[in-house]
Amino acid sequence: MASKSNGVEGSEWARAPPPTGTCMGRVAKIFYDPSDGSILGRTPKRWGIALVFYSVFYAVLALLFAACMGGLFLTLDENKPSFILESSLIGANPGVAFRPMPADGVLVEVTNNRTSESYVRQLREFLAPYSNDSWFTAKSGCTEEDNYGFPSSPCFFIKLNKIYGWIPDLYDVSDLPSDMGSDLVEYINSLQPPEREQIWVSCWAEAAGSGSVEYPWGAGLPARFFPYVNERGYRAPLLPIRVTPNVSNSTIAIRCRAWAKNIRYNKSLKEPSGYARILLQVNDFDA
Amino acid sequence: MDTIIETTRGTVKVIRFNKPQKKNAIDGDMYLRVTKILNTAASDDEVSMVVLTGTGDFYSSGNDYSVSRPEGAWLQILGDFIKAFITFPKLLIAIVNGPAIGIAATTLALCDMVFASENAYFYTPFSKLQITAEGGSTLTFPRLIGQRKAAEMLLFNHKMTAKEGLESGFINRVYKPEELQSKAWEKIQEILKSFNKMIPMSTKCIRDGVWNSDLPVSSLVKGDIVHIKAGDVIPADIRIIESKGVVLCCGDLTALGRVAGLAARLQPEPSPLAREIRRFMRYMSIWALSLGVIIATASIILGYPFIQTTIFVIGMIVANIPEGLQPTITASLTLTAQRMVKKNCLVKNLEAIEALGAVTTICSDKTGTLTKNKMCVRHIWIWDRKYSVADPDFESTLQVNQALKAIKICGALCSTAVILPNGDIQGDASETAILNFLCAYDDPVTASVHLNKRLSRYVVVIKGAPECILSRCTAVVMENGNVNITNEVKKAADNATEDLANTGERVLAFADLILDPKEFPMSFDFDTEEINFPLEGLRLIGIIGLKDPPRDEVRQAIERVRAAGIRVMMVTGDHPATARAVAIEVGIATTAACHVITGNDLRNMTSDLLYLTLEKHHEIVFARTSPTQKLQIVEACQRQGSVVAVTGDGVNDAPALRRADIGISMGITGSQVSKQTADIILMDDNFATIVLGIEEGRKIFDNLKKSVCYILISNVPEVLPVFMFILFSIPLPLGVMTILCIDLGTDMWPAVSLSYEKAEADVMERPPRHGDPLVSARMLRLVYGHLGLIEFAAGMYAYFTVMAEHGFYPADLFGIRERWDNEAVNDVRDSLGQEWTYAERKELERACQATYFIAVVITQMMNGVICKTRFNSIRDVGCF
Repeated sequence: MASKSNGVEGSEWARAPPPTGTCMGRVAKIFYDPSDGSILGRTPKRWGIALVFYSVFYAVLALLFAACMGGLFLTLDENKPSFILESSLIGANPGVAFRPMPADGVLVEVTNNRTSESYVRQLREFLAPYSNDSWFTAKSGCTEEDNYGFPSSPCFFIKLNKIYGWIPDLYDVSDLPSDMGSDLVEYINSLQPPEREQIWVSCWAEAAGSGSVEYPWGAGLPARFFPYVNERGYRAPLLPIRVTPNVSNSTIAIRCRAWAKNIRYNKSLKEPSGYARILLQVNDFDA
Repeated sequence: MDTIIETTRGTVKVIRFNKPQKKNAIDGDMYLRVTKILNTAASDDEVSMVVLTGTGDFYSSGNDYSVSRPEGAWLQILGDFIKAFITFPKLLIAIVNGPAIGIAATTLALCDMVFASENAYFYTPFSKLQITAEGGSTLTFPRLIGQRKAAEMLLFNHKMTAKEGLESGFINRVYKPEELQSKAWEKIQEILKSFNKMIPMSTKCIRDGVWNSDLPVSSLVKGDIVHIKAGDVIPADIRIIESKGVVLCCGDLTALGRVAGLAARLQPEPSPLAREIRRFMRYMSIWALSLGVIIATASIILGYPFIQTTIFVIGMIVANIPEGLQPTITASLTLTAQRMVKKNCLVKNLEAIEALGAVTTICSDKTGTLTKNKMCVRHIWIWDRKYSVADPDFESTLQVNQALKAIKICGALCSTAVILPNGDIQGDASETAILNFLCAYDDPVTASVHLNKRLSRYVVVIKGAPECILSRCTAVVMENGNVNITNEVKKAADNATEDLANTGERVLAFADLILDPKEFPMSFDFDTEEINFPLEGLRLIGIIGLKDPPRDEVRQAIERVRAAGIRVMMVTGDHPATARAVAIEVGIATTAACHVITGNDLRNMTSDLLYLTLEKHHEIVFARTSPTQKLQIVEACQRQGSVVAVTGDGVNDAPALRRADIGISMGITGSQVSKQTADIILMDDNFATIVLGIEEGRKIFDNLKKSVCYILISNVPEVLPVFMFILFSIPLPLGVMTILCIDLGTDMWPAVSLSYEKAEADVMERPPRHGDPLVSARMLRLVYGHLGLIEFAAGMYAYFTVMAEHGFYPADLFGIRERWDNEAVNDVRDSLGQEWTYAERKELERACQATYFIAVVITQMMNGVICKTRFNSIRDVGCF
């Protein structure tokens, strides 16, 4: 008696009834519903309306964006940045860079004639615009003729970043900084006073004796090139250094520092400032 | 004079210290008296609690030192007194009408509740008197008011005011001196009432041939023979044999028990809101994860290190997951639940309140929810007019009417209902209503006067269905005498009956017959089983129409519900005519032609036919239905795609309550099982509260939609920059950190605050949100296609502006990424020939990301305003 359901029905679901129709049927209905002729939920007419609306909407949005950009360009000068030197994020402390740039981003690796070929080509392209400059063509050493020293004792061209309006604050010969190397001081003193108007560059191997550095063109970037004001045909000064490695099958780190009162030097590798660091790997060609 | 006054109020024993001339100081005799009263009350079943109070301005000033006392016995007396307090098993309440000092204060700590007047204070100067604190106060005081305060009182003679006592938890309540007694007794009555509910039901039964007159229902077993009478609650499944019942099943095995069990077992689907959110979160997660996978692949292919890739992916996922949703939902639901409790609506399942907003159909029961569940006499028909009881002139017009007098006698006599000593009436609902009516218009005592008359000659009084009574009548009472019944009178009576019945009233006719004392002497033995007295040739007195009147606020509530596009159906066990009349009266039906389906019709219907019927008729009343059919109706509605709310109070409503999307139980009349099953409990059984719930539910959904919309918009300007970065190789316009800043910082608070939005003005004029999910395709179009793109455009413009002002013109940015992100390249050239080191470029990139971020934040502010309203104009709502 008590085991009977006692008039109460059991049931399997609560709240929501199970969905109707077969699974496939419901899927097919999404693509085409014959009840109202809609394709993917809209009738062709509705699709048309949506299309018109969206094309108008996006056209207006694009127009607005274009108008804004147009407004922006109206405020910009073709030749001069809106912010220069300290007021710009570029600051007034030019970075020091070098060419050729390492192929893998960090390390300049010279293994044989073939690898050095790409660096030579890069330098040739980089230096091509200078071919009409008399000061450039007059120089000897580290030129295309000697294949820029590659592969045995490669040349690196040190350059200062161009910053609009930046004028170097040069060191007075009588007031050279104490941390300046003695050979550079000697070199500066040996020059005639008109030639002392330069931003000095000194390079050294971080591990002493791992390589020697020569300055075939001298050790300075002439101050007459500054300031840079984006004039036509301006080409920044360059300074090649020739590195002759004393060890083989290892990496040599060369550090090149630019000397001017307004070039801040921070020897930190994390926040480098005022120098360029060249990592050079020269391998035995036979290996 | 008696120093202790002992009185009884119902089941409450009151002890009053009565020695006002000595500030109610307690002497030996008083101690003994109180001890004795407490000990007697402890074992007296008639006493449910003891109340202590004092006469005059003082509660008691403690020991009476002026009376000499025997040394040794004294400690015994005191000890017994305190012990009586400690061991008292029932409720002990003190109404402290003035200061309580010494032992009077320490015994307060032993009372269960203390109500004090504002001028009371509590003072225990034991250390002053150089005696030890008694009454267990060193134990009870620290417990009640804390170690420090107790030390203040017991060691340093601190005088605690009533206010301080209330704050420190020494007493329950403080009242003004003049209100103390009335307010305290109000509280006591409240407690007593709750006691009544706790009293276990008992029944009379025969077990093993032994008569048990007071057996608790819970201990009934199969085979017991129970005696039941009208108005009793049937204690178990029984089979009736000769007005007794044999117990067949009890407890969970009874039909009701099975229903309750079924309801408990039935695991409900998650609520509509839970379903919505689950679905939304699932799609959102899939979307976010697949975006993450795309970005990860692209990033790896572009040669980013693993850590950078991970950061990109995390940023992408965080950008897409709506973090603000959960706090928003919780805030909305909690806020609403709090508000609902204030409006007497207990929300058990927080999500249910939202479901109430989505409701498309309400299946309401009639009795108790739509009506007052109280039969009242509404109309009286006495030759030849119908009088309405609600009419203000009713009493004066009928003062001298003989027929009314007769109807009173007849109504009082022809009844099995009894008036209990406390004034309550017990019995059948109709008879109770009639007696109530008589009580209202006459003193019930007069009934007994008429009984005296009956001694000289017998009067047959009869009441019943009008058609039965009328056929037996030959005369009718008129204002000034009896008149023989003619066809005309009969027709008038018939018309009146029909008239009343059509308005859903329960119609009863009253008639009497004075028997000839010669034929029926005093000693005559009447037999109602085999009738041995005439029941023909009666004198018709009148017809009474009874009705359970609708609640006052229901009609308006239903009007609002219907305006909100919700269909209200009535499902009742009552007679179709009654059901229809109530339906019309409360506005469930607008015409008399509303469709009424009885339980029998329903039984013969196939589910398809029921479906069609529900489609065809908008206004449907289900009458004479059983609880299982209620379940059937709910299922049919759900099959139609409706979101159904069901109201019910009985145990057998539980399955329907569980099956429904929202089960609503009644707080007052509702059974325990129905309350357990329901999602929402209407504490005042009032249908109008449902309307409020619907409004709140819709508001929640609206606000959630606003919030979700707001959260989603910022996804677009967060995701697209990464695509720009990958596809067009520009420096990254928005970094992971800035994405986190937007999502967890600037977007979170406005999103949550949207849940505080007030309901929109037209929230109750809209149709229920049917097929309008939390995140609709329309919203996605708005969010991703319109607003998000505008934000993205704004952000990109800001980005390009900063870049251009620093020398990188947009045209030169495309394809720059490889050089830009290469740490070894220290001379990236901009459009004006300047060369940038890595550190300088990154500085610029951060500046660009910052402006992009600001652009997004500002446009999000505007979006906050956009999302603030769904349908109303922001000008109507106002920004604050």
